[in-house]
Amino acid sequence: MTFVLVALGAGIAVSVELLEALAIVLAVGASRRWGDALIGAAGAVVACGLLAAVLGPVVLASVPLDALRVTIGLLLLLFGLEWLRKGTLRLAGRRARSSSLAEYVETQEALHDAPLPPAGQADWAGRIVAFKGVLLEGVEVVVIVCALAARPSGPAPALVGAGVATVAVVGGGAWLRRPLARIPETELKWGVGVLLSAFGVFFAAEGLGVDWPGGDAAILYLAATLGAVSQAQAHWLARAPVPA
Amino acid sequence: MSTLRALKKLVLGETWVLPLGVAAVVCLTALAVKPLAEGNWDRMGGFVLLAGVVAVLLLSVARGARPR
Repeated sequence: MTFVLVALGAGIAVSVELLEALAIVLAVGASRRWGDALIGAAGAVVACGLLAAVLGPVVLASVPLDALRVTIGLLLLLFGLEWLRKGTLRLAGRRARSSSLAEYVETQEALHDAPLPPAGQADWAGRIVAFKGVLLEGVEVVVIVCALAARPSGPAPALVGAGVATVAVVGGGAWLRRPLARIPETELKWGVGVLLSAFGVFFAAEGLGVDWPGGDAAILYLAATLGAVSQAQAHWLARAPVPA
Repeated sequence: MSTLRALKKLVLGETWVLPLGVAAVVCLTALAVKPLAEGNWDRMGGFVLLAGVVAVLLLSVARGARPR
């Protein structure tokens, strides 16, 4: 069961991050030139690959198991709670809903004023925007997947989840422009926040010597508790009057 | 400058409440609650940590809901 939960957590987290990166690359490609957008994105993918190659083995080889569990738990809590906080505020109507389509439009508007160089010359503005967008989302992907892959049971579930998500999102990139508006990103990100936070509490407590009742199934009741608290607060905030 | 801001947001998120709150909860649980709980720690320690994390989440959302 842990295999499925870890693969699911890694898969959804990677999908959401890649979707945001893809929106930026699509915006650069559609409004500038596809070649420069892909060069910028490829540079960022190489940088993220190098980071993963260094981060994974170094962390696994040099940190004691319990300290590693606490560190992984803290990292997952930091990412997960931030997503859960934003998700709760979005569900309560206190923050704009998440949208990769908005990111697409914003990126196109940001590049609108930069003149496009003549054919044959490199479009550095487009390359840099694509590189930066993919790098920032990619670093999050690397940290989340490395954290989930560093479990004592091995990296397989996190890598399977991340691999399936990558194929699905990149494969769908060609026709994603219109469906971008239909993806329920707010709910997806809220779900990722719940899962990552549950994994964070689980790993951090294990590292501190806790033996969870129910073993790995504890992740389910941890996720249920965090999800219920977040939903209750979102409902309460949605009904409370907004202070002036 | 925008890259630095994006990196800071990536590492710490949008609010200091979460990183400071999570650090405080984990340190307090490990250094103060664990020695006091003794034999009950392995069964109850996780729920103490969960309660702290829930408190940090509720506080950070409440702060984020305030108008700026």
